[in-house]
Amino acid sequence: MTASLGRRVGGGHALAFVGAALLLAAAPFVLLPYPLTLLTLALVFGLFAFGLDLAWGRAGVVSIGHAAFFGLGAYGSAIAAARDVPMVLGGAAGVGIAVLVALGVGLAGLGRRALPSTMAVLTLALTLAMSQGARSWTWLTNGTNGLVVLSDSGVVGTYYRTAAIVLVTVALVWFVVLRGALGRRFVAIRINEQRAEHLGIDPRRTKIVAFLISAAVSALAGAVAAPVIGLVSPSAAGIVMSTEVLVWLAVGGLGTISGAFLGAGLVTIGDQLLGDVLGSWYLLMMGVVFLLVVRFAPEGLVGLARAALRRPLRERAAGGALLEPVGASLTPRPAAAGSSEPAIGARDVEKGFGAVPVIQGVDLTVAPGEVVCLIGPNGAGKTTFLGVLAGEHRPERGTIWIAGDDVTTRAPHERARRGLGRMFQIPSVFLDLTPRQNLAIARSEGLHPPVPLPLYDRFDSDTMLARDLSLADRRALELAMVLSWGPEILLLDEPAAGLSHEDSIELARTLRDVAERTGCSLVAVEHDMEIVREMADRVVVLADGRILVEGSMDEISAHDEVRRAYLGVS
Amino acid sequence: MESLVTFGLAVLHLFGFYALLAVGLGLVFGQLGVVNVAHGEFVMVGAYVMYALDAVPFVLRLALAVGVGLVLSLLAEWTILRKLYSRGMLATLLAMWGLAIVLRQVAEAVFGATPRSVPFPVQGSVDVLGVRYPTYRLLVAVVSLLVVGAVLLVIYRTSLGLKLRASIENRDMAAVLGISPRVMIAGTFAVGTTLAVLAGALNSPTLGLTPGLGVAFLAPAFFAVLMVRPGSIAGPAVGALLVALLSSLLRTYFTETVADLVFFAALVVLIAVRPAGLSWRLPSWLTRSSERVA
Repeated sequence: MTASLGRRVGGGHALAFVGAALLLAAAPFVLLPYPLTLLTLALVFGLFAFGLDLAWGRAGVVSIGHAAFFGLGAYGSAIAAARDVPMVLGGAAGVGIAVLVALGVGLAGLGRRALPSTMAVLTLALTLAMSQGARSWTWLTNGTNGLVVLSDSGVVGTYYRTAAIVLVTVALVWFVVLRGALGRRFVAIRINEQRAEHLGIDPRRTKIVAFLISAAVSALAGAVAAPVIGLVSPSAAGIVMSTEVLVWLAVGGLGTISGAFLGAGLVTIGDQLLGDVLGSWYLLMMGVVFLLVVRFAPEGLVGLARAALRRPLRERAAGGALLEPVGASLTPRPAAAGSSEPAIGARDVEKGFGAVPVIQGVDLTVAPGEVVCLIGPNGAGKTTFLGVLAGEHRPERGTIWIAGDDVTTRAPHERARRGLGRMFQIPSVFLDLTPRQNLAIARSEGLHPPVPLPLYDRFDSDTMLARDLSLADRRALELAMVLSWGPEILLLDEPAAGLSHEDSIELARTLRDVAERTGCSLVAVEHDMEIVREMADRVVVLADGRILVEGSMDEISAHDEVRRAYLGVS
Repeated sequence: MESLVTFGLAVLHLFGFYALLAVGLGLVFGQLGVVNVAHGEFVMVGAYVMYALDAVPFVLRLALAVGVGLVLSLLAEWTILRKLYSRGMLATLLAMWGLAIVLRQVAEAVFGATPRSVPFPVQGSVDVLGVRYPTYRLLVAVVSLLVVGAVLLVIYRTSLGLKLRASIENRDMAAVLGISPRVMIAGTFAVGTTLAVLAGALNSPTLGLTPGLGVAFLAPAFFAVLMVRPGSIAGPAVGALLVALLSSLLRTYFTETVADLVFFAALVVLIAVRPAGLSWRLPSWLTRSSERVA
């Protein structure tokens, strides 16, 4: 526990926390009641923006109707207060309902195949429905007049209570979620969902969890806000509020705690100072500012400040998540020898796209530690077959096993958790992270201790982003990630494409060596016969979606039908 | 019988309105891969143009509204969206939402938040199978459907439409064949949003004009797009018919709030069941391959 505490909380963080706590504690002694009320308001709105940021800034889940959750919390408090029920209970009920609603919306809108903009439409419809409900169910909400919430503890008391709740909530969420495995997975999913999935992270679940936490924090902000605002009306759940929180967050800076509070603070104070003078022109101005921020400064004020202060690249890339390799309790790899179970198997697999059959009944089993190369002419179905093995395509017929388990209907991340690693034709790495952080994510999600290889050393660097690596380097980084993740089976799609001759021979030897040392099975699609000869225990020739012949390289190259079909020898 | 005719006429009117919206939304979605969250605001713009220029004859005003829609959408595409496509769909989506905020607030700043109304250009009612129905509503429904038909005809039967479809299907390949992606994107956005402006302008007499009137239309229009095969251009019109039916049914039997909630629940269920749109044919490889590309 203390070790985890030490890892998650740096000296700077502790200092920032103590500083914030002291400043908040001192504020009532220097501020007059009116500015103090403003500060209280800014704090709850900041918490609301922080809540939205957990979904939007951290996990990349869009919500343009987040006030629906804020409103649920606020109405929870207000309805309780109106009926002489303790406000805490009402607020808690509001948070609970918000989480349930978010679960429904998230399950639908964040599904595997949902369009990315679905969440935008859903959340917009949600906020409209919420404010409509608040307007028309007058027996509960008192309609458009709203419910008056009286605070019994005076300006200073309300302030301290609010500040304490906000500080504790932010610190807790930061420590438990953002600095933990979840925070790391949020980053992974946001930057490269495909890679995250093939490292065993469930994209759907991660996003839904982010959305749930986000809804809970936003509802909590609403519950706390009710006595501060004093009047809870349908607009608390409505479209204007939803829009405003987006503006706060965008202006302040996505993916940062300081950005959420800075944006909320600036706009709230600006609203009080200018809102009366400018009226609806103030909101128009905010809209224009929002457009300008989206267009010219997508990282917001905090992002601009960080760029100006030249914060280290890795810090900006990680956005507060802890991306350091963990020496967690990884189970050592089971002894490869002696196991008679095939590492991965496919029986009678058929897969077509529309009317075009691509795989027409393939049987293949790969023993632990075996290296199988798939060769065949273009259009033979090699890449599709790898996709079927990895779970990207669901076959129309047939079965896939990993270590004895039927995984035919399993999603890619579930197969990954069973030890199936995947390398792509176009390398898939976390482009917006440094190479070192890429490796750190892979290791933190790892199944087994990494295979010791000299390959990792060159990527132990924080000086650039993976985006700036050349194609060959990205491929090497992908390989390093997948190997340090500790796969039991590795699928490779043309690992040597784009490499020089020497490099590809070198790569083939490394792969061979890994397979021999760790018992990891390899299934590789490869065109270069020299590499195939170097690596393969067994060569499988695919043609027209069927296995034409399989055997050692010598047997294959002597085979007449192969020479005709593949090598073009008549 | 009478109530059935009344119901049918109500559905027809809504169908015309949502068909204009959904076809436009579907076009922009097909071309940009992003739902235009400002779509409803363009409806609002159309309605307010009709309100603001009330001295101008009605038909001329419609033409002016279409002109305003074209200029506004081209301007928005050129100044805001164009630079953002490369930053991914989230940036485009947010920029459209920013545009929606600005449009709403401009309307509020200029016209205020109090509801406004536009007088009917055609008074009176006609007799349809024994039911008196306002002439203007019937006229609007017919005109809307004719416009949708004309747009689909252009898209499916002219070389310009062919280019547009090619660009939606595979922008890079179309570009290699000399179809400028920039022109096609700007053109699609302009046509799609102008259809929404036209819908707002045509229906302005039957709508209560407030700056926020458009936001409620996005979800039904999106629903219509999701009801049909993904990527289909004519499909959303069919989806619009289903949406018109559903929402008329709900409005007949429930209060407005409950109808809205049920509609929302139906949307959630639809998305949960068919996240990438309903394909009425069984497993379509199109949906999967488009998912891979995205």
